[in-house]
Amino acid sequence: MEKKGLRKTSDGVKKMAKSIEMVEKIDEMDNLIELTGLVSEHFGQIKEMISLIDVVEKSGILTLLKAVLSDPDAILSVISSEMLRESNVRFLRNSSSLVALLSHIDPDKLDSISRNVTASINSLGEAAKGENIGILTIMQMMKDPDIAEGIRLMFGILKGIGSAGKK
Amino acid sequence: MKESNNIVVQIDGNDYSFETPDTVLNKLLELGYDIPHICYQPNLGPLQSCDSCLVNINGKVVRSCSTQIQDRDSIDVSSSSINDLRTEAVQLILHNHELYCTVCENNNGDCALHNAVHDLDITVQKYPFEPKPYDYDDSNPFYAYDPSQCILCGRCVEACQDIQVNETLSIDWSLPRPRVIWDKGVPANESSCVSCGHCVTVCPVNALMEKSMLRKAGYLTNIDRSTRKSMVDAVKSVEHELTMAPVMAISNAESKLRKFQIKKTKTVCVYCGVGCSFEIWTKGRDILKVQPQPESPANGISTCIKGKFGWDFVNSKDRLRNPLIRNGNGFREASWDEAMNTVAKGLLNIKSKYGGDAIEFIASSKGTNEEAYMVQKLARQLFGTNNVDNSSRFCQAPATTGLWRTVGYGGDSGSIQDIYMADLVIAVGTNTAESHPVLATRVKRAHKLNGQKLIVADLRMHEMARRADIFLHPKPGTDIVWLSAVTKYILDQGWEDREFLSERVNGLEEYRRSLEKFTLDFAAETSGIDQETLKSVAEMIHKSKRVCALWAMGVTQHQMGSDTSTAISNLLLVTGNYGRRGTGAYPLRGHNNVQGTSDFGAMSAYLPGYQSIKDTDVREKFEKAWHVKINPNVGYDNNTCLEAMEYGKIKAMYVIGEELVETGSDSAYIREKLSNLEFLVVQDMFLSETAKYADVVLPACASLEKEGTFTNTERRIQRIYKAMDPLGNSRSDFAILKDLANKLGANWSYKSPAEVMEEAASLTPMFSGVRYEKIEGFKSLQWPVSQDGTDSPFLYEKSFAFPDGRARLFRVSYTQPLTTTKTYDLQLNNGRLLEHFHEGNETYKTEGIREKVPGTFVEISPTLATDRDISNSDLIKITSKWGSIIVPALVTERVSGNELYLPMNGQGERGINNLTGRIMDPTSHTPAYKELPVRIKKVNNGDGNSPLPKGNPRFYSANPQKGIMIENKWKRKDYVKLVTE
Repeated sequence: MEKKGLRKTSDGVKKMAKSIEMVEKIDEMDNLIELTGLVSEHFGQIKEMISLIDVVEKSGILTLLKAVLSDPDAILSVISSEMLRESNVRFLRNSSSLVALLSHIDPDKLDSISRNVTASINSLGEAAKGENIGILTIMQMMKDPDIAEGIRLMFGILKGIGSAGKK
Repeated sequence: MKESNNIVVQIDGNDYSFETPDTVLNKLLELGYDIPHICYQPNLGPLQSCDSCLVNINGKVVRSCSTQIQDRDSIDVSSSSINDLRTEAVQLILHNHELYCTVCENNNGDCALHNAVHDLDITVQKYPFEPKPYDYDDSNPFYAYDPSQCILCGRCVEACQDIQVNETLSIDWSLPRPRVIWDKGVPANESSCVSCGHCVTVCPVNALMEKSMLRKAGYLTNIDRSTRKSMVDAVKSVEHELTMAPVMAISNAESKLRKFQIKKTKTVCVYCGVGCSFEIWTKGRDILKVQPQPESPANGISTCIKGKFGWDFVNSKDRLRNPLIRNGNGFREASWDEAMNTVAKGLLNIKSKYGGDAIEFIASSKGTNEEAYMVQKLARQLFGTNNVDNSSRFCQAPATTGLWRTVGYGGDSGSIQDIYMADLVIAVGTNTAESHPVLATRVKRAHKLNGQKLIVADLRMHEMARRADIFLHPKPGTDIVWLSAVTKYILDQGWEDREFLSERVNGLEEYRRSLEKFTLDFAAETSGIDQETLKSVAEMIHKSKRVCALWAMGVTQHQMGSDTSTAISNLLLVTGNYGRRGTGAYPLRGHNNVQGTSDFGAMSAYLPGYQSIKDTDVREKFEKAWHVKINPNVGYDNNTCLEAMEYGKIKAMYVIGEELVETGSDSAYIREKLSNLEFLVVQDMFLSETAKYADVVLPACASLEKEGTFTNTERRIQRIYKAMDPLGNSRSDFAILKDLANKLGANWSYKSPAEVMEEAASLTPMFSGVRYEKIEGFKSLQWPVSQDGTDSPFLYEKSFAFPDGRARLFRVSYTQPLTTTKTYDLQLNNGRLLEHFHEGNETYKTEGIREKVPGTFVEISPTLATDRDISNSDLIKITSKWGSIIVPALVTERVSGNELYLPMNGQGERGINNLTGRIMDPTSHTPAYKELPVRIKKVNNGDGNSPLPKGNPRFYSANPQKGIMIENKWKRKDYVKLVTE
């Protein structure tokens, strides 16, 4: 017995096979069976993933992410045009300058200066209790090697700023 | 002490010795120097436009790309002074290019400019970027040009002018801000550009990009151009303080990350037989781009529009995803198990009722070698029949016959490189620039740059005809006459290669006598080519030391196809043009694997490797391997099987990847025969016209979804690798055939196509040394391949493939082809167009190709159009003895007189084979598609516009020049010279 739809030649009568295009789709049973197999194989991981999604959803991040991903051009466009506003450009440039400044300073030297500054600030209470400062007192204080070092440092910085200004 | 002939040099104070000459740049790269070379690409050679490869040799600053290394050179590569000059060169380039690598589609690790900036540690731009005052050009459907990103390196121009030789691109150095221009300065889509993609492939930056890459290539590229510009401006605003270093670092990281989402797979093109190989870049199922490699053996960096951009069929919504079983007036989808049981049962039923010889198997010329081997094994081992064939019957079988008769092997006698090396190329009945575009580029280049001569014989004034030194327009079907007359004239003049003939060829005197009737008088009268022209052809051949002959369907698809092919080979033998580099016979194979499908035994008279089915020893060898008795009788081929159906001999067919209804001759006849079959199985990617008659349709997968090998026109065996999983529930022919064979009890245990190849090689002397590991990646082998793996880039150096090692001159005679009559007063020719492949079941799936060529039409000469009152787009009814079609008219000087041309990319009611008949070459059984007298009648008036859209390159004129004209850059006032005079 031949299957339904196949051409038959029984009784010596040929049935012409017409050219056909219509296709009756099957359901996706095969795919579903394959999917079921995958689910049971990775059941533990899938549960973990679902709990992760749950957490992310509750935190609101998922909604935000969805919004960003659904119209990334709009978001990027806003961000980039905001970045180009004069005040923001200034902020960015200043931030960059600060970053550049910091990246050029020898961290060891900065460390020792900051330690000294911290120590000076801490000893401010003691110094403030002293007498009024006259010229002579200043001259005397200049002999203190710590003060002399501090002044040399200040002059060095002032010189650098001055020469940069000339340029 | 200096070794003899070695080149001894000092580089950065160290001594080196080289055995072979080369450029300084190549030697430095060989030694591992990380020297920039932005405009240099090996296939293009030195362009000298970027100055990024400067070195100091003996005190002079020179470009290392264009300087040959000399004995005793002292070369400074690494000093700070020469490094500063290279840095300066790149700084000058950056004036023409904005660096936004992180959001750039070209940031894939291979951007020559990015790498140079990084390697030279450029952190601050010396000459600020200034955009060029020209619009972004995205008019072409496949690629876009951004003038502001263009660094004017000239790679695209060199590729277009001197590699592809379409001669569309140039750099207009006279503009205040030079740019690349199309023709004389028009939008890309209104130019002579044929969308071959060479320019995009070689562009070192993102100035020319495949549109399929745009927004998709990177993690941060999916942003529109205006948003990207704002973002880039924002980052640039702080670049002065931050320097480029942090951004470069981020872009380097992003580039590395791209490797996780972009897969690069080596594959081979599935269109014509040239066998272009390339990497295909995919992201999941998305095809991002096709990137040929310098080491691609047949094509280098070359592609055509189809190979570069015509891959949308792979993800087409029309692909079959499940098996189909005929069910009343429609198909129903079925599981593989049910479908395969139905196929096995149906075939066994036919076998038990009528015997295995009642079934015809057709292997696909688009499938792999291994799959072709499996089809013929299935037919022979399980059904005991030799009724197995492939589509070479429709095209190239006559050429193979001609070569079997005369030189022994049914394949090209050399490589594409030999064609390039020839002094003279004779192209007969081939529209090479459209049918085998990449192979044509080599002829066009040699003709343009090397002084190669070109003789073209064809009916149409196509591109190769326009370029020819001598263009012959014989009357249709008379090539055999002029070829034989030229051969006779050469012999009469005593211009034959006597030494070659006496030492290597049999049958001269008999052959000479057979030529007696082919006098110049007879030839002139019969072919319509005047005697002086025929003499000029003979003289040109006589004066050339190396001659190659190319031919295709214009020769083979005639009743005399085999004899005309033989005549071509005879001419080459008489003039000694075999067995040397730069000589030989080159039938141009039409499908990607039409050569291999025949080679691997899908032929009704031959087991794999053209081992005759009639040879007892051969049969015994296969019987021992396959444990069955092999049928000794030659089977029906895929053309004569149709007549065999009429006589009741064939009751069932198993057709794999062949659109028989539209590509066989006389479609109505074929439709009738298929509908009368008792059982028809069709295995295809689409519900083809042939599949619509099937009882069971099996969904096959695309080449990108499987592994295997193809053999190109050069006999070159190349591997394809799997880039993605099969779509839906489709399967490879390998998987389907193995399953079917095992359902029939064969117990085939192949784990992979590699094991099929091993078996084929063990049974086939021609492939005995072929192994997958020897053809890994871009490596290839050209058959015959001996046991030790030695292959044969060119044949017949020492002997011809006959037992005595001598070639044979083979007598041919002339019989008149079908000619016009009073009723059918016009001659209809047909063939391919560049943009489409055959009836277009794959190429129409690409939107850009549809945009370039939306359908077919009939080309009519201006004289005939005037005579018949026909204008562009008028609908014309064409009637032959066997049918009629209605198509729009295109009036063009490509055809002349009473000759018409119908491109074969018409589908359904517009298909050429509604007109063709069942007349065939008696030897090879190839249909005489090209012998087609017709009459025409105007059905109604059109709108007067051409059926080809405005964006078709045929409307425009190219702008030829040699190379990039770099001298014009050097003459500019703003050119900063860094080299020493």
